[in-house]
Amino acid sequence: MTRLPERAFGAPLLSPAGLALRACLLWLAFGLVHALGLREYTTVLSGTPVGGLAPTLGGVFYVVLYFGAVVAAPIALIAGVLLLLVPRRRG
Amino acid sequence: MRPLHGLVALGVATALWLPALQFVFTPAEPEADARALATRHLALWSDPALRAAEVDRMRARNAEWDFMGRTFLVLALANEALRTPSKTPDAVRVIDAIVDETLRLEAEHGFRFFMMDYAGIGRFQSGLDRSIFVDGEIALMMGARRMLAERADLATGMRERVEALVQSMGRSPARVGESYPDEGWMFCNTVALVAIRMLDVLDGTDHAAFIGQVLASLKANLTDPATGLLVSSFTFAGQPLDGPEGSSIWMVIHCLDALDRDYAADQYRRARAELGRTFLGFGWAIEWPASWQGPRDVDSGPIIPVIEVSAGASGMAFLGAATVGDTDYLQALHRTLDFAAFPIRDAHGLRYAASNQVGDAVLLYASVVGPLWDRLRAGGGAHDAAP
Repeated sequence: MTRLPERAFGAPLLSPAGLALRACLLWLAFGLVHALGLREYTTVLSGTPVGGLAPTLGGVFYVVLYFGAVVAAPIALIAGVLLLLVPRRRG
Repeated sequence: MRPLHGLVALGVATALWLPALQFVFTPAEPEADARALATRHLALWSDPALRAAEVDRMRARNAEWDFMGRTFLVLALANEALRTPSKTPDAVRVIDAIVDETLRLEAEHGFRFFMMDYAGIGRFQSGLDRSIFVDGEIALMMGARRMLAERADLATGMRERVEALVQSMGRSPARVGESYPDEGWMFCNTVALVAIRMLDVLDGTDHAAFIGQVLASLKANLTDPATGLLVSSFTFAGQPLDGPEGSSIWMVIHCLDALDRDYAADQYRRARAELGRTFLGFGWAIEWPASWQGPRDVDSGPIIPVIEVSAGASGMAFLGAATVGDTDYLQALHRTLDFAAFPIRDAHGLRYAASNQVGDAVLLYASVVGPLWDRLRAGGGAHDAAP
């Protein structure tokens, strides 16, 4: 019996397991930057960045991962579920 | 599994998720958010270290924001107190702290302390070394305080400021005052007119004819022909500099609402069409109309390409929408705020990480706007207005 992580990492991108893996990775990455407190630095969006280049880049990085987690990851997961529902042809 | 299946699944998933996103970010309790925003601002004025950190960050970018943040907070507190009279003592205490510190800083450093560096370049064409940006907002803060309860020193100060506003505007051929040397802003001029109107209500003076002359001049000389919107900046002689600007026009509409409601409604309708945007339940505002190619500047904040979202314009759009009661647009703006402004709730209340103190103060003000302007439209004196 193949273990799930191995199946997921070896799966093609546009497959149920591949899409679910990407969604989970996005959520994991976002959870990490959120736990690191980078949300604070999104103030760069108002034109009042905190500190120098590193915090500014941190804020931009947080924004990108946030939209990845909130917009892209659910889409990937829904697409994965839809693919599971597609009838597979044999042969 | 064919790749085509995967792409189709992604397309269907996108079509399902994006329209559903608005339901995830519809604020459950906007009133609770407003209260939490207010708590945060009151904390700022009771914790000097907290306020210093916030003010320093804003002043590093634009000293005006420190000043305007004070004005919007004072206006918010005055509205809250007028709506709920039991809040008046606390509101008056905080307003007094804000006004007194503002006057102290102006006395110590000069009025340019609250302006950008170029305020020191050139001379005011009116011959008065004063800015209607500073005089107008200080007069407005003083007047808002006096609408809650009279304070003799502020009455004197407000009369002196309004006299300076009338002089400054009266010396211009176009009846416009200068915010910076030979540079007037519609934002500041309409704030000044409201301050003048507030003095009339408080003291029983009558500047109605003067206000009417200025409004007539703005309509005749400073309306953008392509959009019918008031331009954002101009020279002392009344030559337009910049076209209609999102970070400015919504506040202009808000001020006009206290002076000429029909005109305000007309400007709102135009601004909503030219600068307001909604998509899939989310709302935002852009900085410049399609007919005017203007630069990104300090007021607009960074502009996100393609959809042209301007943080400054979108924040101010709350005020415009709240002023005219455009609940659909207001709700769409609220969704975007929850979606993309990164709210942070902590022991001090609520703030938006993608904003700053002046932005949050505008949001707070937009959530309580109403009673103060109602008093201005109704007329009557301070004693009529006092709870």
